[in-house]
Amino acid sequence: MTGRASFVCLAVALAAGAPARAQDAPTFRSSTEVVRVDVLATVDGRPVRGLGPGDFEVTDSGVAQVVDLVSFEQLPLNVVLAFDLSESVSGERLAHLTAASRAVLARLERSDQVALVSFSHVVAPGAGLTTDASTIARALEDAVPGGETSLVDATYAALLVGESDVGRSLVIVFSDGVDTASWLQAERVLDIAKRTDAVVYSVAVRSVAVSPFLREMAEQTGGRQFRVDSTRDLGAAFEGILDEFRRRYVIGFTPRGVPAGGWHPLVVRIKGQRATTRARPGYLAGGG
Amino acid sequence: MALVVPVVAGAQGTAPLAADDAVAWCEAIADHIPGEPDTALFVAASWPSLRIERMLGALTDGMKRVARPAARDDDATARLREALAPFGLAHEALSSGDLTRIVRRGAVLHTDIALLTDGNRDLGGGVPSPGSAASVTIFDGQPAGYRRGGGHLDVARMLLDRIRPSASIDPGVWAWYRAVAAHLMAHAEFGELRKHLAHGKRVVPRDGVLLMFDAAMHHALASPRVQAAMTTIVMPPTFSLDVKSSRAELDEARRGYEDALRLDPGLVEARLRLGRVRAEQGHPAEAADLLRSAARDAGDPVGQYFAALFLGEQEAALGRADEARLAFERASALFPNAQSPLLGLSHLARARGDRAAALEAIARVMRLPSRRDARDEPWWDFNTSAGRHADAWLADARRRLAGDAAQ
Repeated sequence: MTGRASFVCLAVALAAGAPARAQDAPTFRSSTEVVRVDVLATVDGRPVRGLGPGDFEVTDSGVAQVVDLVSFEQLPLNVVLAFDLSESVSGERLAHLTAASRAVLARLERSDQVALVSFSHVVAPGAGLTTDASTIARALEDAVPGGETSLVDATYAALLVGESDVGRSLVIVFSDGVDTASWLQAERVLDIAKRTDAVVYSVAVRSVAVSPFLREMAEQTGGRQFRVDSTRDLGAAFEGILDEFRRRYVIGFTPRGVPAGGWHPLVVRIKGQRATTRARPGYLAGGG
Repeated sequence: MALVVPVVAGAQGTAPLAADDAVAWCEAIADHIPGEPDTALFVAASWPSLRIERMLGALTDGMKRVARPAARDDDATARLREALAPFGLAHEALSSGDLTRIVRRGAVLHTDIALLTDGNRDLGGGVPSPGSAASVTIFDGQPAGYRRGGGHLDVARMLLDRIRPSASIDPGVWAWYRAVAAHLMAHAEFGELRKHLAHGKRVVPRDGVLLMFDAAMHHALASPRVQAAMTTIVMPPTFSLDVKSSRAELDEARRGYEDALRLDPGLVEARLRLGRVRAEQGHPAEAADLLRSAARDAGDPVGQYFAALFLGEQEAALGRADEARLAFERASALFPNAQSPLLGLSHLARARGDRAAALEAIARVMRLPSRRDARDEPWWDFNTSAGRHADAWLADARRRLAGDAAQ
């Protein structure tokens, strides 16, 4: 019943983000006043470029809002890799996961940060946010899979790591199973996700049962769930996620005419185009 | 006394006589040091229960012959007389074929075979044959193989049933049922535990501890560890899993804990676990009352930890953030390398909008040792931890059964 997991932890303090980067903070960031939403706008699967604030139609709780800010490919990313390193991810699967991660790390911009949260039943961040991708690569090389799966706990930790410094937060969760050992309850972590700006993409192998939590997490944060036939396909999936995330707009608006707290359903459309949009379905206000 | 040679087949290739088995068995019992994996264990390790039942019949007959004057002994009776000598049986016991003293120690022998040497029940990649008793092994929410059912605990129960005047009033039997239940719980042997408790509740029907284990078993079957595997296990033909939905198992657990507490209101473990069930069923106020009471009375650090951890979650659900934080901090102080109270603290802070405190708690998780054995996190073993006193209880049960018999 009891498994063993042991891997080298190359953790750095989460709060210690790169100071130089903080000085280059983007022009806006979510606060209690400004709501920030990541939006993917596509036509026939191709991203729509060149949109400005006036091109977006946003309703918050059914009330039309004025989009103040739009950013496209301008903000640095906080990419958090939350990887299941339980017993079932050993041998060839780990090799595939490591190779796929390298491919993602190679595509990061110099201003992007990346972190690793590895988990079995043990949530053991392999490295806090850093611009040094080699730290993540080394942590993965040192990983020894084993034990059970604390998927919900780890996803929560990843959300917090992602918002621990300025930037757009992308959380990529890979798991090949369902949660068996978490302390935190899935619905409570989903509530936190509704309060953050993070976008969660999940990746799972098609042949295994996929956690409903991951599907819900992707939906609620405006991300997407990827299914791969085999761990050999992880590289393509991770690269696809990163590319898609980069092609998303970040829009900001100051809510007007809506209640201060509670759940705020959001609808984001592109004016005058038959574009499809993907964005979080709403946000929880109050509580930060 | 010389150790008995294993009896699998006679020198001529014939099946061993039951009378020979009786001698070999009595010698093994007498030679066995309770709780030790000694060579005596291997004498009867491969005997099926039918062979033991047949042997017991021969032993009863042999005891009556031994009750007669030794001068009339044939060779077989003389050997049995020698084998029975360590038990110090009174003439009345011999002449009536009262097996009580022998079966008490025999139960210890077969318990030790089951718990110390019975590792050959794994079927590897194979599947159980139709009609046989079996259980499935689960790891990380996935089926990991099958185990044969049955074995020497069945034999031990059958032996204890032969205690006179009644197993039900024998404190050693009560202790044995509790101890074996604790062991099976601690090792997540839920298939065997179900069978053990079904028999145990007939023998000692008003024991709150056994009812508590029964409830804890249903509680464990409701857990994600088990329920996750329900969707992936493909059972062989004619087999089905004896596990209900999470909701149904939780209901059974609640009823079981309540029954246990009616019989024994002082059972802190049952109160703690009932509190957890009520929390899982969405009754935070009731859960918090039970958990506060359990937190006051829990006698060991693991019990105190669970009470504080679970209470923290319920206080948070009731909007009592300060009380929740104190409870999580108390749990963290008890097990500083456990991640769950820190995750609880972080979540509590984040839900209130205090990102800095939430992040600080996560940073504390980051600073914990990454190896599981260094983490010392009771939560991961909650489903089996009702049996955490199994070793001490087994030692006590062995002492009661084997020690009393030797007096």
